[in-house]
Amino acid sequence: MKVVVVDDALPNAMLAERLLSQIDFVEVSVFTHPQEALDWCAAETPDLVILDYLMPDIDGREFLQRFTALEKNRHVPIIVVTADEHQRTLHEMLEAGATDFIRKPVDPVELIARSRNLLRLREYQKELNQTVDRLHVMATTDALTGVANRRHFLERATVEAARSRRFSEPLSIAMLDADHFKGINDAYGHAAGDRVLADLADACRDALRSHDIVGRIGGEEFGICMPQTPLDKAELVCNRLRETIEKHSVRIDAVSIQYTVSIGVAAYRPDQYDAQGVISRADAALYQAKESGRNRVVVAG
Amino acid sequence: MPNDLIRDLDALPLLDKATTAVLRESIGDEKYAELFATLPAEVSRLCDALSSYCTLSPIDRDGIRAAAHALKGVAANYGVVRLEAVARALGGPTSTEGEMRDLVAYLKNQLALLETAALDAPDDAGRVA
Repeated sequence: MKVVVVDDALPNAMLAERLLSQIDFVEVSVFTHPQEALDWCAAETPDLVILDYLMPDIDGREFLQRFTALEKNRHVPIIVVTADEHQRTLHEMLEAGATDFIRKPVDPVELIARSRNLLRLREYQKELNQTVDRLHVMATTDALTGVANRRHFLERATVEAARSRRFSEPLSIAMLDADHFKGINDAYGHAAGDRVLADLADACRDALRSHDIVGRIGGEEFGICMPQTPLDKAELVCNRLRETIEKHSVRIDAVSIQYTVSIGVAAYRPDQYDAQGVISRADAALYQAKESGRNRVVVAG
Repeated sequence: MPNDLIRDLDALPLLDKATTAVLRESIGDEKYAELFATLPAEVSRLCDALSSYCTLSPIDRDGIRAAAHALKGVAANYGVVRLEAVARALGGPTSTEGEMRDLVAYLKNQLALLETAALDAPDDAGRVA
């Protein structure tokens, strides 16, 4: 855990450093210039800050404001250390974002105990954040292919449709389906089928821009949402993707599997239908692509 | 400076035995001596700042208050109770300009004692002066 001590008086800073070093797994960085501490905290993220409140140039109040202005530092605990005995000052510190305070002279046992408690809470907070991040990924991502799952794709497409309407920007959505996928599963097994789906997702990601959204709608069907893309450009992108997939193969042990895809693409028209409407139109175009021989792109009229 | 204030300050030990004992126990004798040795330079720096504020006419009360606050924090942490009392008097709202100048002069005189204390690494009695 990283602890930062900020105190313009070197003897006080060194005393705090010495006391805090007694806590297990703690690495203490000492700063006698608040600006240097802020620079360090902009690059690194401390787990606890011990801050002298009254300092020249940048006082504790300004330090707190600038420190917590960085989103990543917003939940980092801060203990203010002060020789000020006015209750008003303590209220001001807490209002400005301090988590706790200690009065000088610093009681070594108190400083260590309060710091240890806040570091323990910080550790729980970090674990909780990691769990939330993991759960978010699990709730929004298709486990097999790593692209957005159906619900997340539909949510993102709805958001992009709203943005398209607000800024009068074009938006195109494509629906894509692996041709004869059941045949691949039957011939090579479901594990091979899964590899093909993962390969298909990779091909989509490689062919698209970072802000395009790929989602697995279900089975071997994928959706592609292309913000700021008119229909003619979307058709070009889809055809390039289709050709890329057609030309390459998935190698599984000694077997090389080739496959193709059919794609239906439609433009979003806010005056005529919503996001779900354009997806339905792209789906209908995909059906036509299948019906008319597969391995092709059909544009919804 | 009123004689009773001087008398009060002189009556205080330079160091508070209880505070130094807690610090020694918390960080060990060797580290304590090492950290205590940094005190004279810091107090000297604050003393210089206080002197410069006192040479102004009128004296810079805000500057004095800030430096006195810093001195109070350092002195309190290391149990240098006599200097802490000087800092409190300097930071007080009622001191006259003359009293402030006298307090800074008194503080300068205490520096030598602090340096001796640092060299001797204060003993368990906590009294070096």
